Amino acid sequence: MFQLDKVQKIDIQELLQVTEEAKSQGKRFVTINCVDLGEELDLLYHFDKDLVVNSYRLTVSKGVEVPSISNIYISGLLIENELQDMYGLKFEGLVLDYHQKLLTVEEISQPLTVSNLGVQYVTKSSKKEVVTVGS
Amino acid sequence: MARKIQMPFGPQHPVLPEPIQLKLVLEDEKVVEAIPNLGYVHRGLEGLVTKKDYNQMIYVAERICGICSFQHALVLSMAVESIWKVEVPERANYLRVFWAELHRLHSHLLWLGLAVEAFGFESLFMQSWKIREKVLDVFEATAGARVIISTCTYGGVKRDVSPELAKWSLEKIAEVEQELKAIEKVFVNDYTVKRRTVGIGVLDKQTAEQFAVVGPMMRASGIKQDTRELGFAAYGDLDWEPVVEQTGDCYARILVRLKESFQAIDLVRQALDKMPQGEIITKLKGNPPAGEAFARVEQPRGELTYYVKTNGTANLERMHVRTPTFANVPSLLAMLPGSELADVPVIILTIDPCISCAER
Repeated sequence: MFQLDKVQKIDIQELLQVTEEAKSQGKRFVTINCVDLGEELDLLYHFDKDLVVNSYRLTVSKGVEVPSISNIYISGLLIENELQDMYGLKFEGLVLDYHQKLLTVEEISQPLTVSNLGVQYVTKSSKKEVVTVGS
Repeated sequence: MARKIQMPFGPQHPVLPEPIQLKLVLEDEKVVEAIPNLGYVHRGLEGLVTKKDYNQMIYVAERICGICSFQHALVLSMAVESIWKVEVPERANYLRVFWAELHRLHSHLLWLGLAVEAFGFESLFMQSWKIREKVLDVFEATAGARVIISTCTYGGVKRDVSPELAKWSLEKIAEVEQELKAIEKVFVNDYTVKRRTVGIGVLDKQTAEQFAVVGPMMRASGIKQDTRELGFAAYGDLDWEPVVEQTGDCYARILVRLKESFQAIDLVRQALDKMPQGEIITKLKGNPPAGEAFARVEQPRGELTYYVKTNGTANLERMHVRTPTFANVPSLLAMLPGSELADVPVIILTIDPCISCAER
């Protein structure tokens, strides 16, 4: 019910087309999730119709500008601005661009990137066993 | 031709319990443009996944919002349980509905009070909050805390409700229902309430779809959708229908939340009545396996989504929260232009903004 086994992978050229199709089918935009994979960012777009969610996975290299869907779904503007703040991602054509200052300030830049989190995973069984991702 | 001025509304404003700013462009007293501004209290709680293990993250999730803390714990539990492929005991599912609906009830009572206080109806505000205290009494008796109750966890719930406690809770809820019925007609029929809300801040069905609003905002605009229809916890076994209104104005949002308050009382009764005997938790050992899940529940303010990615360690790799306020704030871009400045506080409050949710 909740697992994301059937996410459709798309590339950056397909994003706006997929979004337009979702809109024309009367789907509601839900949100975008983002995970920092190190060299790349994993973006998950979710659309809902009658409580069925369709999800699309877009993996982009860091530094690549992603087309904004806010021209199609205006409700996408806040999450796209949030992702700009948190990951330094740049959305091209945002209808309202807060220029990475929606939620954060200049002193706190891209706080959810792996390099800034300095990820340390401590397993429960052994507090000494530490898996470090990023710096 | 009227002179245009730009005016900041907030972040500190008498009607706003939490900070949000709107840059309003006015022509005389009429709003022509509104740009929302967030970021005053952002806490970076999602970043704590690297510092807190998955058990501790339940407590972090609950602290995203003090009003709907149970739903935050519930949806995080559901996401991790789906990765872990855990079956939650039936009794726990009914107890989850019991506490979730009590949270909806106290949240709506809190909001109903705040909404009428925005136009100076102090006595109705105090009555609403007085009734709400009884719901918090039920939390205290059943969970040991009045606000953040920490009863939901991975695999079920941490506390059971004995038959004596269930009986006492139902008596308290009956008092809440009786007292709410006494003030219901004021919310529905009072001249002041209607004068300040009917035809104000209208969001028609088409615009509501365009702005992808959720929860009571969506249902007040004629869209019949409620995440509880997915049937999670025990909702699929209970008898209920989403509350829908058609006019899309501030008055319709009051009616939806008022009717949902009575519906929450009914669902609490149904949950306690139909609750089977049995275990309340499936004990889990070790760490959740690697995987990812996207879960959602109906929080009092609307659809709440959690994306969770695990990697087999004690820490979640990523937890992303999309709260209903985050989904509903953009609709202010549609509702505020054309409204009178005096109506701005009422319109903002009718989205039931929870800034601590939005700025988790």
